[in-house]
Amino acid sequence: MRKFAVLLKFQFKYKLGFQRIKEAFFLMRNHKISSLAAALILCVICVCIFVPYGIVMSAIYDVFAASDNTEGYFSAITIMANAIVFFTSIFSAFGIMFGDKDKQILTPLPIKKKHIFLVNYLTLYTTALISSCLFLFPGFIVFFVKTGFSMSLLFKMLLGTVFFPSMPLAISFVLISLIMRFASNFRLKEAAATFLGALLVCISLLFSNNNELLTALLTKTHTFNKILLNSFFFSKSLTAVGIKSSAFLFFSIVFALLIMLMVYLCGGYIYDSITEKMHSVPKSTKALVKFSQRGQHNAFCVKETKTILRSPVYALNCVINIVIAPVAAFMISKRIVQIKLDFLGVFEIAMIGVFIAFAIMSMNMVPSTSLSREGKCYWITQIVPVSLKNQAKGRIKAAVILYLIAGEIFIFLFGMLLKIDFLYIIYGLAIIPVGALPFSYSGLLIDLVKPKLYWDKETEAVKQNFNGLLGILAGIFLTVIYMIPFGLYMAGFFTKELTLVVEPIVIFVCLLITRYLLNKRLEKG
Amino acid sequence: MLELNSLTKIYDINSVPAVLDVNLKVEKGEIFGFIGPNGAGKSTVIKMITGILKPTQGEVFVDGMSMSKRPVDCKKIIGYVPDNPDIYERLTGNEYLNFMADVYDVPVNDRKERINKYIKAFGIESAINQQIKSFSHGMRQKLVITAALVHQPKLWILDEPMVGLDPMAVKTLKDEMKEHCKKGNTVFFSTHILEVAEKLCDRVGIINRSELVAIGTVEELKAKANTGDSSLEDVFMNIVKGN
Repeated sequence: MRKFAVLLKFQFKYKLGFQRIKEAFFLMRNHKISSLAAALILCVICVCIFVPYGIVMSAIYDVFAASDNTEGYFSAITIMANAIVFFTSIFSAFGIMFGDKDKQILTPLPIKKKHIFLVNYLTLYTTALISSCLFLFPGFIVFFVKTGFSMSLLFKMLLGTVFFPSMPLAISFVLISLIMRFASNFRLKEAAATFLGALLVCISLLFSNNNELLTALLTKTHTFNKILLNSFFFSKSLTAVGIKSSAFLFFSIVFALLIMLMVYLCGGYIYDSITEKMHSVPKSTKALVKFSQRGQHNAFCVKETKTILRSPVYALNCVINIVIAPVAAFMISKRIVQIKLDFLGVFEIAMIGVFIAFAIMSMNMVPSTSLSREGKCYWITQIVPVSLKNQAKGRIKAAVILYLIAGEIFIFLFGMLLKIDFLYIIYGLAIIPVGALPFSYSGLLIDLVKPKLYWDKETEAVKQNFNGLLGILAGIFLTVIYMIPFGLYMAGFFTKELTLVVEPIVIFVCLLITRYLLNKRLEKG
Repeated sequence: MLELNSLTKIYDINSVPAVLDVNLKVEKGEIFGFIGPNGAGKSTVIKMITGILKPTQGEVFVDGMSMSKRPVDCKKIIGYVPDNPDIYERLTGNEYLNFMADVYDVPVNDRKERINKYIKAFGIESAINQQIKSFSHGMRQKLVITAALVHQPKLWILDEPMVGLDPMAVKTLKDEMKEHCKKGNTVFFSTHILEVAEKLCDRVGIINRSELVAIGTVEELKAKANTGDSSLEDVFMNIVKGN
């Protein structure tokens, strides 16, 4: 038990990033200005996410309150929380559950394999709990604002939330295990796992953003509750009174513990066999060594692309926008048709599509974590006879290719689905590559200033790397700048033709500025 | 071929220098051994030679070119093997070798000949199409050595290259080092295995507590240490303890 507790404490400290948070607080004392700026950025992000979310929750509450159906409100938010936990667990499971360092380091130690599995699973459970809290708590706050505060209800909410993630987490663990098991049959196992994981995310996004499904969710929560028993018990415990309420809370806790027990009993064996298969090396059938020659920056570009696509953690975190792009094109075009935006012409819709494409493209951490992902291999970039500028060209090429895939897919599908004029589609397709360059330059510039080279797990290089977030923010900021000519058109200052001409000029100016700043930094070394 | 002038590295003004005023010259055709206790500053000197670290003071000249003023040209003629073979695990061995050959602009036919030669000599040809992730430490070391030699550099900088290598690979590497120097090229390597340094090196430099405390042939060092016919190990112990 003591060893289990020691390992659990260690995993929480290092896998969940608590150690990094502690170090960050320590650094804040010495770097007050930069930590204040970081805190401000985080506050802005929180406001941008939680304020609209709170408004949506309030609207959902009003829908259920109108029909005096408080239980429906809690059912709806808990069902949605199930989806959120399911999603986030898919992303986290790769790094937390199936990292190979655990197998190498922990397996030889005198700790039962089942305990190692349980520690990893509890670590994953904690990430699921954090994401469910972030979703549920604002919903609860809205409820308290609308109906008044209640201490007993708060207690039930807190206790119920702790046990809530067990079911969606178990489902995502089973799915991920199946994916990993299937992927382990391939030579490039992790690339296969990445592809399957991305497919799962794509299907989940399409499914969860289906309008009919959302409407059904709001009107038929009792149907969903028959399947998602954790939502059923939890929502009942919050709305029932007296002994009934305590009974439902008790059932929700027992249900959660039963699921965890089942996962513990069966999951350990599955986990062990999967990690064994994933880390085994198949005998290479190819004895022949292939030789090909590329230029120096192409060599860096290819190296960058291969290392990203072969790592589930890098791929799912850095290039998720490629998965989102076609899904977003379908969803948004469908919404536009449904809402019937008659006051917007074809030109306006086409331009909105272009800016949405840029916004989707900006969700890419490739350039802003390019140097950080080198990690311990950074020495290679320092000893090769390739200047920093030429290396940067290769990195930017890789980033732009990945930006382009997302952007062009979106523009093409969006244009085709909404039957936008072919010339506008061509215009969008042409402007996307130019607009992608400032994203790449600014992202690489951010990582050049302070790359995070010391990490043990790939997650630390991307997800737990502030540069990645700053890169996305820089992309969003540039997208807003790109929107200025269109904004002036909508305000009546510009004509359509002038907007079409000024737009690429604005993008080009951004390109020149970001390129200048990047080159200046590269010269510094 | 390699010249270090007053090379100094201080990480923090308030701390002890990592390397202090190291001066040495390595001529063409020479195998130079660089030995010292743990933490003496060997890897720091090597990192300054290869351009990974910038010296606080002093200068590194590679074939007459300054590393600070012409880093790309200097790096073109250096082949470096680090003490830890941390390389891109997601690439296959083949892809990594081709990547290194690309950055050193090695033509296809030349790289084909050299890569095939070294992977056969080191016995890693059967694993070359697997991801580096699956390689053992020794296999990675062999791969890193192959990658460092694919562009036939004039100057080999090897930081404890024999760690993790099997005896056959050690023999292969030693033979390659001798062959390399016979052609008028240079090898600068650090090692803890003093028997290897004694048999292989034309000259040896001993670094202790950031300073170069002795430099010369093994015979000269023995004479300096007054240890008679004893081994390099005794010389080393004498000099380091005395210092």
